[in-house]
Amino acid sequence: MSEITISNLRKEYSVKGGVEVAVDGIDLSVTDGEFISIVGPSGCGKTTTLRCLAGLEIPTDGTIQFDDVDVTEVPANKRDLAMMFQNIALYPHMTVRENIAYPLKIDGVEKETRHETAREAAAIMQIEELLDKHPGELSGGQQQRAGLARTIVQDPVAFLMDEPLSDLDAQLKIEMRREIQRVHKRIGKPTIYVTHDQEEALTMSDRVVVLNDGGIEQVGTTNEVYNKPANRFVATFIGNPSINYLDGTLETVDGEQAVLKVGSTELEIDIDKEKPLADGTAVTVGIRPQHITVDTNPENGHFVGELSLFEPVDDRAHTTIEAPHGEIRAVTHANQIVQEGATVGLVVDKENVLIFDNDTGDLVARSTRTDQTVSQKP
Amino acid sequence: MSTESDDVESTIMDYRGSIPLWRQVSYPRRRLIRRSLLYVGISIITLVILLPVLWIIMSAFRPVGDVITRNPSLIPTSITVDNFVALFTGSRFPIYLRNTVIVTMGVVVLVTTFATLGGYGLTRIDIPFKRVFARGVLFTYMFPPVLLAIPMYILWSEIGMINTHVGLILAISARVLPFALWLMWKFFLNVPYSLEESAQVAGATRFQAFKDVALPIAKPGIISVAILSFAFAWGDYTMALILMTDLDMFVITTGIEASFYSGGQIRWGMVLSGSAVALVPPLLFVYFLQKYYIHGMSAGGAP
Repeated sequence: MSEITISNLRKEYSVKGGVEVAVDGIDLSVTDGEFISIVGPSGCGKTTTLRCLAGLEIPTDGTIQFDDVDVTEVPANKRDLAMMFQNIALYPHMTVRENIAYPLKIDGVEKETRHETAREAAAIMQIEELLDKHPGELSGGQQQRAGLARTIVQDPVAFLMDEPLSDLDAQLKIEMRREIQRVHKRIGKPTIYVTHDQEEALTMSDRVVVLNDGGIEQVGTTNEVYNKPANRFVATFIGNPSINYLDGTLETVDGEQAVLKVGSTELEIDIDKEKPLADGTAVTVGIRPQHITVDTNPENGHFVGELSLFEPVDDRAHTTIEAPHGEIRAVTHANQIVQEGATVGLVVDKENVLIFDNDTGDLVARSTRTDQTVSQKP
Repeated sequence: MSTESDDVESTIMDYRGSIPLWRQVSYPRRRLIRRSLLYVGISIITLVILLPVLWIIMSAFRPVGDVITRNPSLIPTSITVDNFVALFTGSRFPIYLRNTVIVTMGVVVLVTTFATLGGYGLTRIDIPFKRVFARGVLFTYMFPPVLLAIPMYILWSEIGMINTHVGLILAISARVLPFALWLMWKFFLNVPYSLEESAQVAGATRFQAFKDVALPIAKPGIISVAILSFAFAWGDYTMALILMTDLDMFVITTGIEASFYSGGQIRWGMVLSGSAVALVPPLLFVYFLQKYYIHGMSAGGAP
């Protein structure tokens, strides 16, 4: 049973000529067994938040509670947490066995017992044969496994992970992602995972926390942050390639029906409103590249433009189209060969149109989807 | 086809023709030449360093008559231990040796401890102007010892520390500590703090993290400091000359001079055998610590 509650967390650093606010009033609660990712651009305060949780930084303001116990001022070594650092932080002078067993050594567990526990943890991470080696002799992936093994011997209140996979190559990343999830499910303790890689956050987490400039922009499931981003920041940060923005006007809003005018094009869409909308409101229209289809016949599209760039990725291709509204990106099939320079039509998926307030950037409405499953093109 | 390969051949020849001689030598030959030059260089340096040492040791085992001669032989004709017997039974040398050992041990322990703690503190604790301090401390190392020794004499005599082991230990430590501190500061800068933080999250107190993680990783640095302070203390002459005025408090450097140079007559047998004995402890000290030093490097070197 463990639940973590962060209320109004604030952390300031004094720097030359003033105060820098790293974390600016964060409220978050993590329930037992939940996998939460904190994601955001560099310097958004995600690592500072995690370090406050770990007890490595003392917050300037706010409280952190484990269950009902206020641990805000409790030092790191009394918090009973397990943490994985970005540089893995294996002790270079100890063998893998001693590394894994170190938390138990601190707890005063007898040598025989702790080495046995270390061996079991290593077996779970499939690195049993490396127990007598030093970290310097291990590959990056093996070091990650050893680091993960060290966290699981502790039976902690929660797992904290600070960009543990950022130094690995793409294939190892995917492999270690699975390992971390396996460990998480096995232990069933809350995991708080900090990353700048949205793909990691989206694939692993029960909930994603999008952080910007020390504040939370949105907390939600992968589906929510992707399909119903709270504002333009989240919409831009989540999703690859990034979302297209077009200037538009809500011509008429009639109940759930709306006519959206972008340039000379009128789109009739069904919308879910987040707040009341008046006719004639100027808005920003967000459409993800995945929700735009390129049609070789310009007549068929909602918009017409000239295809300026065709970049095959795998079975998909990223295309860039110069349209009267500006540059529009679309994701197409790689086998749909379109000549660069050709005039093409762009078909908008009317079930996936996001409408943002021009001033605040908040989501004011999105188009209604008939089926609620996430429909993403390959 | 043939014209094409001829072209290639002539291009290569053109190219070779325009570059220095060294490039025309084959790779194995180049390596041979490089190695030979290296070994010749090393041999010369070794000879320069070792010849006086060898001469001391060889001469110490010769009768004095063979040392003071107009036709010295390279290889000793007769070997004797008389010099050493006289040194240990008929002179104050054992007292000097004891004083040196006490002072050296004191300096090594004091300097190593304080440099380690201080260097750690400078990297891990937020102290205002610590960078300025860490660099400024090195400046004090640049004072010539004579400049320091005279004010020290006045100060030491005020507080009654002339002719005490502690007095000399403190004086020599004051000389070595700045550099040792700077060395340890640099060393701890290379020990990632996240290692200790990781230990702290795992349940270790700050001191446990220091002891279990930072200290073992900094071992090569600590041993460097130990060797450095040993060398300083063992070979110190200036401080001992000024602060240790009682004949029973002399160390080997000042003692050999005082006892064996007396009355316008130099007792070469004693000087040489005394010097030979003085060479042994540094050799052993460095030899044994070096093993740990290299071991520490291999353990701490790879992150």
